[in-house]
Amino acid sequence: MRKDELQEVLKLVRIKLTQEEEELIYERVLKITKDMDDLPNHELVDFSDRSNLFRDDVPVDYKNRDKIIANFKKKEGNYLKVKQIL
Amino acid sequence: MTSLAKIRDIACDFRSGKSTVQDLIKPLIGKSDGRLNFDLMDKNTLLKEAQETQEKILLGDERLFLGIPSVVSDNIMINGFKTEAGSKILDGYRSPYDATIVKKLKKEGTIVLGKTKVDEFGIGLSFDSAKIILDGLASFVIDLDSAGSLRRAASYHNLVGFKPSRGSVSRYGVVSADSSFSQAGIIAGNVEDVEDVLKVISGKDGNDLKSEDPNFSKEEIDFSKIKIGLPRSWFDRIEDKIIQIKTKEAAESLSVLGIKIEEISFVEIDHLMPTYYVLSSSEISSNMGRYDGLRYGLSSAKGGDLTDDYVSSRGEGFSLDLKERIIFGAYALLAGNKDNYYQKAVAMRSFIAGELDKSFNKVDLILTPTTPNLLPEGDQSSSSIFNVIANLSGIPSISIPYKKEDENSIGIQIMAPCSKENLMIKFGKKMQELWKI
Repeated sequence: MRKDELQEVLKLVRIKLTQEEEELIYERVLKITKDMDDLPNHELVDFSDRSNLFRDDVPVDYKNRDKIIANFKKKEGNYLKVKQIL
Repeated sequence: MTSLAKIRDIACDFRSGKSTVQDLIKPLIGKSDGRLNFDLMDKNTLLKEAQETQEKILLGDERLFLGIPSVVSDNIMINGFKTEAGSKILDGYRSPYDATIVKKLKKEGTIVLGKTKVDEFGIGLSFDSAKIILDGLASFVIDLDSAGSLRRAASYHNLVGFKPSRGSVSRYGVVSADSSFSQAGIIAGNVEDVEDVLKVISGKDGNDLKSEDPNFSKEEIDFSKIKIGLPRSWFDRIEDKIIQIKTKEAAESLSVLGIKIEEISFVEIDHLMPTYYVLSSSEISSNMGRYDGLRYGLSSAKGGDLTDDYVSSRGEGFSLDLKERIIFGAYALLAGNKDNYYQKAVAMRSFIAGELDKSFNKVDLILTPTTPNLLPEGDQSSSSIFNVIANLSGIPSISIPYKKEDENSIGIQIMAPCSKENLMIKFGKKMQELWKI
C-alpha cells in the first residue's frame, strides 16, 4: 500500500484519521499485505455443499415500518430528512 | 455464586413442585440488576412473565424450556429493546423486531432476561457471556462466535462453548459484521444443555437463505469405530507446556472407550490468520457502509455538507480498531488489488476447506486444545489460531473443559465435518462423562 492509496481509501470509506492514527494503520496494513504476499496461490474450488433456500416472491404487509422509522435521526413525517446535495 | 442446575433438572423441579418459575427468576433479577455489562429487561414485565409461565406449567404444559432463564448477546435483536452491538455508532438503536433466535426461544417459553454487552460488533472474546453462566444468572447464553471468540471464552471459564455449522442457526436479526464467519453459538455449563438449546434455535428459516436443518438423528454411535485425528504440526504451536501435556493426556484417556487416536498431517496453520483477516475485514468494510448517521444510531452532524456529516458520525462512532478493519477491507476490495488480496484469500479459503475434507476422509473428528496458552491474569486477548479454521470452513466445533477441578484446567476443542452436530454432541457427552464434568 502506498500512502496516496491510503488517502484514496479514506475518502471511499468516509473516515478521517489523525496523522498519528494514519501512521499506525499504515504500518499494520503493510504487515498484513506482506503476510498475504507470502501465501501461496491456489485455484478457486467450490467447497460448499450448501445451497440457497429459495422462497416464493410474495408481497406481504411489512409490520415493522414504524419501528424502523422511529430510529431515524431527522425526519419529516415518514420521510428520512437529509441535506440537499444538488 | 454457582451455576444453575441442568435445564432438564430445573424443568423436573418445576413439574414436581420442588420449585416455581418465580422462585428461580426473582433472585436472578435481583442479582442481574445493575451488573456491569448486562442489560436487564423490565423487572415487572419479567416477574409477570414468570408468573404466567408458572400458571402454564400448573396447567400441564410440557415444553422443556418453560421458565428457563436465558440471555442473548447485544448483537442479537429483541423487539423494542436496545441493540448497540457494543458500538457507539449504534447508540440508542432500538430493535424493530425479534431475531429468529429470540423468536424461537420465546416460542418455547424461555424467559429472556436481557443482554450481555459485547466488544464492538462482537469482534472480541465473549467473557461477559461466560461470566453470566458462572455466576448462575442464566442457564445459557446465545452469543456470536467470530474466529473462536465464544469457544475461547468458554474454555478460559471451564464452560462448554459450541459453534454450530454455518447455516444451522438463522442469522436473521443478528447484527452483521463479518457475516460469513460469525455464527450464533451457545455457552452453557454442560453438553446436554447445549444439545437442548441447539434443538430450539437451529433449523431452516425463510428469512435466512443460507439456513439449513442440522442432523439430530437418534442413531447410536459405536465409539469403538470412531477415529480421532490429532494435527501433528499444530501441536508444535502450543505455547504452554501444561496445555501440551494435558491435551495429549485428554486424547489418550479416550482409548478406554476403544476410540482410535492417530496423528494426521493437517492444514498449514500459518495460512489461516491472514486469510481470515483479509476476508473478514472485507466483509466488515462492506457491512459497515450502512452506518451513515442518518438512518439509525449516532448522528454527529457538525454543520457541513452531507459528506461531512457521514465522516463526522463515522469518525466518532467507530473505534480505531474497527476503522482499521474497514480501511483494510476497502483496500483489499479495490479493483486494482482484488486479485492480490480478496480473490487470493477466497481461493485459499476454498483450498483450506478442501484440505479439511481430505482429513475428514481419514478420521471422524479432530481434537486440539481450544487455546494455545493459559490466560494470564486480567488479560482478555488470546490467539485464535486453533479456532479460526471452523469459521473459515463453516464446520461445527465445541470446547469442553478437561479436568475442571484442577488449578490449570484447559479446554479441549473438537471439530466435526459440516452438519455433523449429532456426532459431535454425542461424543461431547461421552467426553463429559469420562472426564466427570
